[in-house]
Amino acid sequence: MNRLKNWRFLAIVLICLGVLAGNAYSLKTGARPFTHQNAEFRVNHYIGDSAWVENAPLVLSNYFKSVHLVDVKNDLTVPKGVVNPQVQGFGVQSEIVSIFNHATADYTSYPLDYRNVYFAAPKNNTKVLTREGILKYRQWLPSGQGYMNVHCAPLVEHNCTLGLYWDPLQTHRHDDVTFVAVRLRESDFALIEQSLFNELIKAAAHA
Amino acid sequence: MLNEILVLTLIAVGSVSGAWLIGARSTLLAIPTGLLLASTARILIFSTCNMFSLREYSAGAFYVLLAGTIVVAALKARVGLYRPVIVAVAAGLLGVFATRILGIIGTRHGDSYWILAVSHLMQKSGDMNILDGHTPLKRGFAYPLLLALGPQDQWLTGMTPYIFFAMVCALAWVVWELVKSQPRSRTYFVGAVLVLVGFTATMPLRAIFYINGHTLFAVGLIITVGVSVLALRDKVLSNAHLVALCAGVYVATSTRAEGIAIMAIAILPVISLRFVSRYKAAIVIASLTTSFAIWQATYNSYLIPNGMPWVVFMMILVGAGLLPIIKWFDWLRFRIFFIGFIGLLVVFAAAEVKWHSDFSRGHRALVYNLFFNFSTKSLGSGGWGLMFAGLALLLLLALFSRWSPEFRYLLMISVMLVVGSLISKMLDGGQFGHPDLGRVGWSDSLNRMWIQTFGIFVITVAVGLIQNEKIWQRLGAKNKGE
Repeated sequence: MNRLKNWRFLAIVLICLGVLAGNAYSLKTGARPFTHQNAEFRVNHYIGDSAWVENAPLVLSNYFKSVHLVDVKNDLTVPKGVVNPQVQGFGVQSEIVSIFNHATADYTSYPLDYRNVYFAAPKNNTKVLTREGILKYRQWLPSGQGYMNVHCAPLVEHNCTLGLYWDPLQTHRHDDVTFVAVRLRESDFALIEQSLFNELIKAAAHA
Repeated sequence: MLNEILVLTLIAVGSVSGAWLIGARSTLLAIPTGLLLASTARILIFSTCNMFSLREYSAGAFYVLLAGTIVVAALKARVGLYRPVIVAVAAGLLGVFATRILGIIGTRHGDSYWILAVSHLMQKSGDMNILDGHTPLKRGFAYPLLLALGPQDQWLTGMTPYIFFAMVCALAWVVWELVKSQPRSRTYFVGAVLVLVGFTATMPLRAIFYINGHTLFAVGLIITVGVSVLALRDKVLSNAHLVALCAGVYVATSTRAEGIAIMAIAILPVISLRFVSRYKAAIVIASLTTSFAIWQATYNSYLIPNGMPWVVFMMILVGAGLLPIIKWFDWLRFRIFFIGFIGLLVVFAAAEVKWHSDFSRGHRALVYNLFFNFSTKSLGSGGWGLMFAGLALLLLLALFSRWSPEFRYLLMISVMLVVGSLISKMLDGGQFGHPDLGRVGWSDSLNRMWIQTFGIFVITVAVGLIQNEKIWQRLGAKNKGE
């Protein structure tokens, strides 16, 4: 007890106990520092099964034999001198496409713009991509989500969503497939398997 | 898993053997120094193989080098090497057990996925030129290269906790060396206090398994600063310490994007010492610049001006770095630590004045992350609990005494690391046209950067407390002679 007569020493003890109590409370109420029971050590599945904003090409290349993405032009930074920049596409990082090289991408054009007709009635005599028409083909992601969050391009808004669509009866696992990027709403995008997309467009035009 | 056990055991034994051969004999120094040497060797072998498009042989060549090092060390050391080897292997196996058997995994984060993606590319010997953009560049070089040594299509899961263990060893070694003339009971008491204060918050615990280069950076930084301060105190920089310091500088520089800036600050004390020869100072600076240049060249970085051969880029960088050691600039070299200290404060103050309104969100984030979130009424949103508040209070207690030269240097370095980290963050945001100081949340890059530097703050507080006679006044009679 003689040691505690020195107020500086006593202060160290009290600070230590106070911090310990605070840290313990913080650990109990906050996010955990780590989790356990992970059994996935393959890099492409560990990432692909997550809800990462960049992993659309990886999710697809994990599922199909090879994947080609078209109309995925995306400039994440706003070009200098542009006033009131608008969202034009969604982030598809070329490095991720190249690293997991079962995927390739064509960055020539921005996603096809179907915003004006996405909710239009199918009887409209235009190329119509209806919500009802494509929703049944939406695939649930390995992360358990219906849609994934992606970067908007350019990054003037931070939350864009992306859905993946294909017809499991027509397009099989281990096929070589092509996906078309389509803009459905202001900040909602879709990657639709090419033959399904063509079918939907054709059906809508004849409706 | 067997593959992982064998690789991590080889790295543990080989790296400790390498450290032993350069003269790092104590276990606490041999483990972090060995890791830094192994990481340096891995970078150099991979980069060389990449130059000749022989990347697929880089892992094999690295293993051969480790095996050769073990053989040479075994022949020379005979029995003197067993303790660091046993400790290092045990730490490696514990890491494998925790990650592969218990399935412990760090908090999921986008940066971790990027790093794993880059390590995947390295493992399958893919074309490194695709990493030329700023996003992969920000994920670093040294750490993904170590992870890429895992089993096919997997990463080396046990490496991350092993690096954390090496960081703890480095921290303990520096404290021990700096206060070994003090009564041991003080060291044990302060050590216990700082373990409880520093390693019970979420972020230090998260760092054990979190897939990112912060802890590897911390190993390099702690060894660099520790060796510098020991050199200042002892007025000598031994060859073993010089090699450890250079490996620390080399690895930390190529581990994180801000590495070159932070490590440039960290080497200022050692190159400003008068008794450090021009030759040794040149090696230290070249460790910094060659590391950065080789990394940029291997990644075909956009920072290398278009059309400029990487060798020219490296020569310009290394040449510019060596300017302060020319004899004409001795007046600058011997004062560079103090000039750097003042310079950093001036730059930071000027930036604060110019972008004050842009930084207001960042100021709030700093307080919310490190101390208390007044919006949610919760302790530090950055996951630091009361750790920084506790360290600040303990530092206050340590300050009211006569400062030893090493404590004064540690204080200055701590201030410079804080300011340097803030400036790095400003530059990171500034390259996108919006300089800022971060946002609320543990994953903010500035908040994560404190993982790299908090070890130095802990060392500073430890040295200050242990050397402060006023704290131990009424205990003196009992402790003397221990």
